[in-house]
Amino acid sequence: MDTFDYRRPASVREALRLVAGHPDAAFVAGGTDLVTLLRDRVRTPGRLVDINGLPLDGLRWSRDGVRIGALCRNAVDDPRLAAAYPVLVRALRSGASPQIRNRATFGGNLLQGVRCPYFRLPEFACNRRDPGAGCAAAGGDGRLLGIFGTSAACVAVHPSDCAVALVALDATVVVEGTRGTRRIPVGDLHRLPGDTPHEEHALRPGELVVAVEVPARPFAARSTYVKFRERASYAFALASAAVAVHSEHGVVRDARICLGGVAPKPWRAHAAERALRGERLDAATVEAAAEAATAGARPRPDNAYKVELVRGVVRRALTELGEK
Amino acid sequence: MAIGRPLNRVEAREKVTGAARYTADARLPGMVYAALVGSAVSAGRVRAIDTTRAEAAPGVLAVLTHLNRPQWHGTPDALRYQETRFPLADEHIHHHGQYLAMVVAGTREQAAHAADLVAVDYETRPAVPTLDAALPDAHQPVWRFEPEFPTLLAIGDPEAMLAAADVRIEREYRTPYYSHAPMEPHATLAHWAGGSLTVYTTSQHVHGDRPVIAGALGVPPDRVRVISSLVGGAFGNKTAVWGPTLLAAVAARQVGRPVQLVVTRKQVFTCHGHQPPILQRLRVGANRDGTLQAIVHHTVNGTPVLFDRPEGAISPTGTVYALRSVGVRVEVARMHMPTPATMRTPGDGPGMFAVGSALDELSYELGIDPVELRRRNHLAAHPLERKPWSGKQLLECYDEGARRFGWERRAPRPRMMRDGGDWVGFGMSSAQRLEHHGPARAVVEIRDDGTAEVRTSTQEIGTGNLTTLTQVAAGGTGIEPDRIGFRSGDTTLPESSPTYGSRTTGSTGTAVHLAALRARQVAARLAIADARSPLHGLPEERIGAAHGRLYDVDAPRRGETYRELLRRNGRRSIVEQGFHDLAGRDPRFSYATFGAHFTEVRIDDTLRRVRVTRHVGVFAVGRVLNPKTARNQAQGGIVYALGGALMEELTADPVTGRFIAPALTDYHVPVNADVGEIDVSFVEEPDYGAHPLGAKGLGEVVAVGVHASIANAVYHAIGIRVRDLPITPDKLVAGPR
Amino acid sequence: MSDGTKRRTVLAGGLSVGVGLAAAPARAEASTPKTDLLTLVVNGRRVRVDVDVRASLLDTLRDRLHLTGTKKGCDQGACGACTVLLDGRRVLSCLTLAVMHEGSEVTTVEGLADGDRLHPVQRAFADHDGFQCGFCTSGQIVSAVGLLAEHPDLTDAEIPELMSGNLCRCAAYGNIRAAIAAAARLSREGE
Repeated sequence: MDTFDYRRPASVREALRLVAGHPDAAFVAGGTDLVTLLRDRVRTPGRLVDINGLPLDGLRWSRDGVRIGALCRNAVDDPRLAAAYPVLVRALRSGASPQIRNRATFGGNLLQGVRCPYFRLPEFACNRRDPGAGCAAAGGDGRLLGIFGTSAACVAVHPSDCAVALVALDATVVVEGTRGTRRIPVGDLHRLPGDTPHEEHALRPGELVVAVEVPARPFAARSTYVKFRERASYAFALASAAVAVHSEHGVVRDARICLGGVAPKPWRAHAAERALRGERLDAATVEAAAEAATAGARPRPDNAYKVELVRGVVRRALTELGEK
Repeated sequence: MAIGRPLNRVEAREKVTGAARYTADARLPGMVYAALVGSAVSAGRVRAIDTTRAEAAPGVLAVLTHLNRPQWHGTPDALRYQETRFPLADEHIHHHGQYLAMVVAGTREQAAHAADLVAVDYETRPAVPTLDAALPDAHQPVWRFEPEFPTLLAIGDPEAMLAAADVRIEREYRTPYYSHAPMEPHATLAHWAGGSLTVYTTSQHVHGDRPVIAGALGVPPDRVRVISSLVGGAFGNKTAVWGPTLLAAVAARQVGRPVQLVVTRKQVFTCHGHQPPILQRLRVGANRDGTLQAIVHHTVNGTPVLFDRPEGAISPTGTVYALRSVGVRVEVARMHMPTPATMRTPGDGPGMFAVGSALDELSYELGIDPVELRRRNHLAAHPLERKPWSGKQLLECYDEGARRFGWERRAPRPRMMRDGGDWVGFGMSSAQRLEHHGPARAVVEIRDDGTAEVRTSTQEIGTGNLTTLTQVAAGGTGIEPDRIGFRSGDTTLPESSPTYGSRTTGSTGTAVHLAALRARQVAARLAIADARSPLHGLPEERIGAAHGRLYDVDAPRRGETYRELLRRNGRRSIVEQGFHDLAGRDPRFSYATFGAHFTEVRIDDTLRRVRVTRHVGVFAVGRVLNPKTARNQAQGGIVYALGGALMEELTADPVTGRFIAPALTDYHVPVNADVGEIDVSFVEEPDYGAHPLGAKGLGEVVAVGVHASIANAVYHAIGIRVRDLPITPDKLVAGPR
Repeated sequence: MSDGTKRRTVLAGGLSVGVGLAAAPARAEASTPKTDLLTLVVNGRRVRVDVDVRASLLDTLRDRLHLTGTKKGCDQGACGACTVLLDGRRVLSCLTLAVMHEGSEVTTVEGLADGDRLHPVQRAFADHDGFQCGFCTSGQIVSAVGLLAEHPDLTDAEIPELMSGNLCRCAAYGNIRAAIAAAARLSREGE
């Protein structure tokens, strides 16, 4: 690891000033992903701006929902959050390990690097890491890689559980820049790779995520997260589903289904949501939605099994909600 | 009696307080740090290597490459040195990650950074990346461990017997690259003083390492001291010297300061051993009554391009079940892979996966219960040595295991047991491992303060050997275990057996036992000859020892303590040596350890991942020295194999052969939540033919057969036969729901 | 195989131009190491140490403060051997830089016992044989202490999942669970 200029600002304004005009500056919060990327030389910032001193933690409740500070740790243990947004708390608790959740923050979780072995090993060519270098994963082992939203230039998956839940909850990130505050739906935060996989997210240079706003939606409380992985715990998802359903008189009025572990960003399964609306949440509907969730999948032979896993996680999550 | 008691480990306090010192914890004044640079390509040549930026970096003291390294001496020996090529030997690159340079700097951060600055210009050649790509090269290995580890063998006429058998099955089984993945990365601290070298290193055999290090450096062995007392897990990948240990030693000489080198986890995965992929083709013939007629077992494993290293997966084939003919052939195929290393249950682990799976497949063909099929092929004698097994309680293991497990509840066909959304399956397998032993020496000292000390070079790698050997010394001397100290892990001590191959209990244990008995005998004779002793003039066989005291076995109140005896005679201590050699066992028998595994798996039909919810292991290993540490080690061995059965695979890039998951993040070993209820018990009957203590090895037999037991349970649960480990979810999505 | 060959060429081309992978990025010039004077409260003692900004909390504890009980198993945030309590909560000391913790309180395995009196979790690990090689043990014990603080009403059934951040390759998991369950009972009864 090369040395860097370490700064610890006391205010958001100071933090923004420290990165303005420094394209090689990086923010660090929990550090649980960034430190490994520094060590493996996937990321080589010349300046590290430690934002842990900023007043960006805690939850703020209002009629409209909750605002979660970007520095709120993933271990957040709040009964009200668990009651209002079960999918979010379950996603958080399925992530990493207790030690990592105690450090990892909401902002950092959303902006963590993709989980593609070829991205994380500088010995391999990677367009996301080194624009134009090529994609070794394309001809490599793709068992863990994406089946939705990938491109010839990049087949990586985004590993966040939390982000998948937040997309299902219509959450928004609040971003501060020197030119003011912006709001970006979490669903628009990560970019699909296309020909420019190195342009990973919608933040402009120098912008800082300061909060996540989760609205009060009718479907939020009836929601769950199902994560499927290779071992019982402490592993990234092979596939996961964040599902939220609002029914009236036994008929689904609105629903959200978002998939994790299968795409370069949390993958909203719109077709599956449509399959639910106006239907009773019975076995046939669940089956139809599980099938619809695979619409648009473009697997390779070595990750075709993920298509079945997508059906499985959606079926399991909807069945669970149907029983409520 | 100290032997057989469930004592806490003697080093427990050090381990729970953090005071236990492992190699990377050792510090010396003036110590500096080394970091390694590995090859980015899998095959080719270093056209140029530019170290100028690294040398100019802050704190850098030296950068070693093939261009400026000191001269190596002698020829590397791929037995105690892990490879056939010394590190930085030349510009040629034979595998990804191959070490190309080492940097020494004042701090850990400076060394790691400077290693990043070494720039290599490669001439790249195409690599042979996979076993499938290498198969055309499959050949009989050049190998010098015949006949103990055969690569070609035939008993009877297997082809004719196969043709004549009522039922034949022909199957192919595969195991992937496995990593030992000990928690402790390999580490070395090298220090020179007055022409003598001290090497602290992570080793399973300090006396084995010493001549290698001395030889390569051209130093007399008596000027090299190797220290490795506590080892943070090894599982075979610390059996021999790896190149970086030699590099640390030469660097320490060059910079004139102690050099510490701790390899990174990525480097552990890459350049410090693994089990290579193995392809096994098995043909089995049996008659309708289940009697095995023939097994033909051909294996091919990947081997490094520089030397042939066969995996002995055929080892169980001819020795576990009674059968009339056997044919085995072991081949290797060259790949651009880093150097493999012996892994816990070498040969028997992968071999028993294939044989144990094939027997299960046969049981369905024949409609015979898998336990019954094994009973009908029970083997009373070693078929090659033609001698009866000593201490074979395998049938009792089947009985006890089936009873504890509830095997009678097993449905006869697959896909018949459901519990809610879960498929439930039962599987089983036998376990067997030949009992190897080797020479070992130990010293036991009884002191005039009533304490004793054991001295032998053994390393504590987690097996509990410091504890069990203390118990052995206590049993021999009659001194309580908490009054016995232990010095270990140092070439200044008498040479124990290596701590691999399940040899410690039998070999080093016997040496300690004999040393303790001799020390006690010397004390007894001293008392008999001493007119002031209450034991004066008694015949030697009437003298017993317990609680630090010698006494008359016919009148136990008559006696005196070692302390009284030695002090009165002005003796500071009694020091005696024990030696175990290969003549130590009864030649009329063959020796092995045995066991039976029974596994229950559950598989959620919607999201198919195998969960081992119950596992019963019953083992016959002679006498159990410490049931607490033994049960722990047995459970651990079962989980070790469970990882290989269900989740472990060091995935290689299909183009370059480079491991794409050299991280514990991606190489999945079982976590706490993966481990269900594991019931371990022993059919305990001392095997005095094997060793005077009646105790045999344990660490490996407990893991043999687990892969098959799990794979068999998976088939029984869900009707999918996975012959290609590990049984990951992608292999279960197909098939009926 | 033809596909593989083609891609190999591409990859090899990428790597064989001058500076290989070690492809130190252009700006990785040998720059002057930056250090920072840091104050930590470690095991109740206030210490001041001049640290390289790149140094992890783990390396600082081990190399600078000579507290080697905390182990480096992977340096990848994947094994749990480096678990310490940071301001009372269990974290991985390999995944955080020391310089980020000015003024923080750190408890390592060396700080758990009260003189010669072992912490109840340490005692329980010794009595239940909750380890073999012992290399993961410091992390397991500190993690368990953190777990009991997070969950005073911990049930036995919750232990496996909540201890899954600590790998044990010797797989003493059953005994680790038994030790923590015993310590949890003890701490509940103590109240």
